[in-house]
Amino acid sequence: MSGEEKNRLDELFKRGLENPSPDLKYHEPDWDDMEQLLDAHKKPRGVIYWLPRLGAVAAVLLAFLGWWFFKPAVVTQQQLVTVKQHPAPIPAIVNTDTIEKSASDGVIVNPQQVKGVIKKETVASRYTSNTRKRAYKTPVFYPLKSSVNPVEQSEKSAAATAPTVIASNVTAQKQASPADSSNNAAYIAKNTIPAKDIEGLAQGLDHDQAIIPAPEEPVVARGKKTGIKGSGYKPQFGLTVLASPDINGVGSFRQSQVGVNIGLVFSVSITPKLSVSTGASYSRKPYETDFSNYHTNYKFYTDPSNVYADCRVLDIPVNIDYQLYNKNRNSFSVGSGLSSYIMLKEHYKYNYAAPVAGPTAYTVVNRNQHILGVLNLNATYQRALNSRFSLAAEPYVKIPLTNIGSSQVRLRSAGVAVGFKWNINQSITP
Amino acid sequence: MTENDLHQLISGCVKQDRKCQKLLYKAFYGFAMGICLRYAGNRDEAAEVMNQGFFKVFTNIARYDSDRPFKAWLGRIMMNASIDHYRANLKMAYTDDLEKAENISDGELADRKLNYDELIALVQQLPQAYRTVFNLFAIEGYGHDEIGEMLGISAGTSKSNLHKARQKLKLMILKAERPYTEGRGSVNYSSVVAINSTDMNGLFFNNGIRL
Repeated sequence: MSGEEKNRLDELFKRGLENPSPDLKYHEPDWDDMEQLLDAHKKPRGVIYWLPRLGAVAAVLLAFLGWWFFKPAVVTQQQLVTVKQHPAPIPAIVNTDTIEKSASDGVIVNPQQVKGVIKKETVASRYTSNTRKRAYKTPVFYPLKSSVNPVEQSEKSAAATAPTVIASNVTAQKQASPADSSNNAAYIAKNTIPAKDIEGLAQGLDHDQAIIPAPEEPVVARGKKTGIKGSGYKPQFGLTVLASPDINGVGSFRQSQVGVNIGLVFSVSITPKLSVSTGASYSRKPYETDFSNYHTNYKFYTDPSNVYADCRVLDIPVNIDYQLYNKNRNSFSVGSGLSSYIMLKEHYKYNYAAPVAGPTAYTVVNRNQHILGVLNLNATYQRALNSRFSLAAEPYVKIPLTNIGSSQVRLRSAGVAVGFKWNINQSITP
Repeated sequence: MTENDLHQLISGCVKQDRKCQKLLYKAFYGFAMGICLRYAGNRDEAAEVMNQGFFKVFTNIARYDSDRPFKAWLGRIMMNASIDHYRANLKMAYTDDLEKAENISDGELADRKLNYDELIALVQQLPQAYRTVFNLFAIEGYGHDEIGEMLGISAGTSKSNLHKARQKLKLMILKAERPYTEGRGSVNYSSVVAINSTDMNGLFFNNGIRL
């Protein structure tokens, strides 16, 4: 074939194929396929998709609740005064002697009558729920609220729900107005029955024994607590440099490869035992896997026997740690949380069982991000060098909740990180 | 479509706006399909490759440099998608009995008047390895060294595949020419690209009896 003819043939095709046929009109089913392709990479994948997100919400909620429950109670004088003026009706069960003592001091409660109230509770329990609702709103009932234990009330559908019962038993006594109620409470608060006495008395009581309001215990207790707590807990900040050999495997660690992981972690202790940490680490994650675990967008004509991958990953963890032990210079804590993997570079190398002229390698850069897609489990041993610096050893496991990378594999990692921690505000050592 | 319209569409695609994606897809459907058809064995395969290409376009559109022509960028992605497809589905080029083509005299390959559908049908009948090299060399204008690098083959293999592609095309043209020359103009052809390869054989290798 001459050169001229070669060109003529090439020209024939080039000219002819340069302008596509007008028959190549838009075909709607092709767009439907396109949409499916786009959706497949966008759609949530059921539980797997939601797990990391729910995990994140749970972690945030835990952190918040942890902070909420363990935050120092700051009680001001103003609040204490308010409490005294409007005592919460916290009743307690006391024995007859106490009641008599109260009665002798002009307190409304008469043991016989209160007993009568309780005895009539079976009658009261016949009232419908509507009656109960109305009864709670009845002003006559108001003082009784402070003289009957609400717990007892609810447990036994107490007689207090019946206005008629109240009338027959309580109105004989000095009618207690809301003001009286507060006076009573104030009085009882003054003549506080020691808590241990109340406990002892309560043990010996039957349910049909009299009930009177308890002293305003929280007033005393809160006062004490405020005194003890003082300034409250001050968060501790820490910065840790970590490095670790990183063992990676798909599904299991059967064909594991060792990479490396270097990172910086910032931690805040929200209570003496609980701390939250986040940071970033750069990982080289090599792994080897059978081709059956590997995912491709299209089918290979000849499947490779296995794939060797080398991934560069930016790992951003959000963890919560709980300190189990802290004595002398040593502390031990366990933690969990979620990591986001930013896949910086993924390089895949295909190995074939027999010499086949198939694709040999594939590289993807900055294509995949797995936000909160990996579960972290770790344990940390820490030894303080001095008040500011400490050394840490942290065995960890990273379990994927979603498929990782272009290859969509279940890439697990484990290792023992060694770190150096700087306690930023260690002046207030717990 | 004006340049401004195109940029608006691209901006919408950057935001992953599905409507803009569809408009862009429709606007460049013919162009993209034209490229993919040359590399694929049939229209279905071409559509699959084209969608893979568009998927790359939509997921990487933020990286598109607006100073450069969009059509060229898209065309390059379609070509790369076709090469990816070739690499994933590479079949060993079967050694056809091409010696017959060697005996065809130069004079017989006259200045043929083959339309787009006929040409694409011929190209699609080539084995994939030949077709890919022929496309890259004859139509895209790459050299053998570049083609070798793109496809993971040697420059020598590229040359050899190109030679075989040409031989096969020449043979097919000459075989197909007779029925065409005899009855040209009298029959209104249906779109060849929509017909699968089995039908194509019927059309071109029917011993002169046109269906």
